[in-house]
Amino acid sequence: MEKALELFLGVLTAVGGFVEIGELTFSLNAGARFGYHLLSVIALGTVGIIVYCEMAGRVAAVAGQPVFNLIRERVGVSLGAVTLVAALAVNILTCAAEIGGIALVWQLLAPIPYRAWVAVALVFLLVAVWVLPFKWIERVFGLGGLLMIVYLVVAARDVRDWAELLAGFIPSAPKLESTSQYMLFAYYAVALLSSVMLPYETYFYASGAIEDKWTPADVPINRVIVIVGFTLGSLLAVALVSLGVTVFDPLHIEPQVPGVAALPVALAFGKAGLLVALAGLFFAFAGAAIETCLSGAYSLAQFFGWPWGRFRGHASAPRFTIAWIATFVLAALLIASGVDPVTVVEYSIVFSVVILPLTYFPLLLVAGDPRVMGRHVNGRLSSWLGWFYLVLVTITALAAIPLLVLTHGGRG
Amino acid sequence: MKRATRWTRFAHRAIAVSVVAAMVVAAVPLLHRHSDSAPLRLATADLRSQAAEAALVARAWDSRRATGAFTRAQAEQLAHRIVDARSDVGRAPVELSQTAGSVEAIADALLVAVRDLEALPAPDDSGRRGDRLAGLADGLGAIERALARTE
Repeated sequence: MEKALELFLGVLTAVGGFVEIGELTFSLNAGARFGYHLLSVIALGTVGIIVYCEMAGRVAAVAGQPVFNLIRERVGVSLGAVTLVAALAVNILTCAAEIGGIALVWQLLAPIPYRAWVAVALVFLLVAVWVLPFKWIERVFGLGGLLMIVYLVVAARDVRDWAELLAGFIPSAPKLESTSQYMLFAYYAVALLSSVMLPYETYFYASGAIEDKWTPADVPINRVIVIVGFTLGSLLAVALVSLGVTVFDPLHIEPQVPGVAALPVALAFGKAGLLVALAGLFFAFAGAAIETCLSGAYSLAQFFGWPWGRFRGHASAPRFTIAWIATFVLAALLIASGVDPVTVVEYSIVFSVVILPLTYFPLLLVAGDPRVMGRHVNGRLSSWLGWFYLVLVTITALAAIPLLVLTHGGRG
Repeated sequence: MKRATRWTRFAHRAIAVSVVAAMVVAAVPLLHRHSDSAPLRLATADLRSQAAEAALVARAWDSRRATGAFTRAQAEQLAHRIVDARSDVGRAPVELSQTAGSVEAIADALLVAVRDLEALPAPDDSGRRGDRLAGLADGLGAIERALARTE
């Protein structure tokens, strides 16, 4: 039973990565603008994040090494510091957007000003991470994130042509009117791949494995967790793309506020469905906020060799504790300044892709090193897939910023 | 370690080059800003999408499938975005001022309709409110397509 509950580490990591506020709007817009054509990118990214999180969990279980330890060890302090700074910036930006997302969702439930809800969200998150042991953070927010399944139900109900949906998993480009629209399509492909393979997912997952005190005996369950967790997250992203196609495209809506995502559920199941849909959004955004905040604190502590982990207690890991509290506070201040959460996270996702190759390469080297991994070293398939995705994310990293600029920040 | 360091250094440089290239590409249109209709088209597209979103919210409210708090907050969030998009329209180049004026007129009508929805009017079973907002979205869509043809 205890092992079965470990699944929630995968569920929380995946829901926090796949249906956070940025992926939510990217997925809905991808469907509304390009039909099912970008489903192949979600499928491609899902296999990629499964491959790299499996490696991160395996290295954590066998060598007891989280991702930022490996980055510092393999590329040195100065080059590793560049990755650290970029990763921290992305984590704070994403965390800020998720806090803004929580406030926007709560505003849909009770008419209190946005900034007041931001303050309440900050206090809620601080208390949740302070009070709950890591296992309970996994379980509460992983289980709550499962409420997002209501979107899957509505999407499945609304699909008009299953053959067309399934064809979307075969890579193809739609027929578009202009070069600028093809560039927008490429931008969405890059952004969706990045939002599925967000680097903080590997930082959080590997650190979570150490929080959960995994040993080499947990290598098989690690495989199950990543496959089940990320496949579920991927299905939710597919459901959002599908709702974009069936609900928003015919009405010429490119969703800009997160609450719009709940409308198809309200139209299908009425007010009760609406409340479940909003609760799902809340748990997904809160899970992502905790994931990004703790990832930032883990990265910092692991890079500088400080004691870290929720399992140690606050007094035994004081700098780690200060780091996650400071991350939440900085993120809340940033979002309370009035910046739009959706815009913030869209930029943060595109910038995330830039640090993907810098995160994955050291991981790939260690997972393939028999001196460190012994009999748990990368097999032929893991190794081949690892190199394939490293090349892919490197090309994507080089294209991300130029595409962002050429498409007017992804607006067309 | 050496292999990882070499590769990471290469990745840093390659990404830096791509960022610089992007900045150069971004700077070029600034030199020709006066003749670029893209910002007006994008603002019109935002307004068109917001009008269609508002129509969907209105339909959910009128069919009693959305709560009052949800409808009010959605309308308020949309109203903020409409105000932002309308101010972008105001920055259109002089040669597009006539088109911008048409967009502003529809944006003003849209803002009034969304503020009306924010006040939670009695649900209207006829669905006229949603139809009226969808009509504004169609009008903005027609202008958006015309602007796209001139680019």
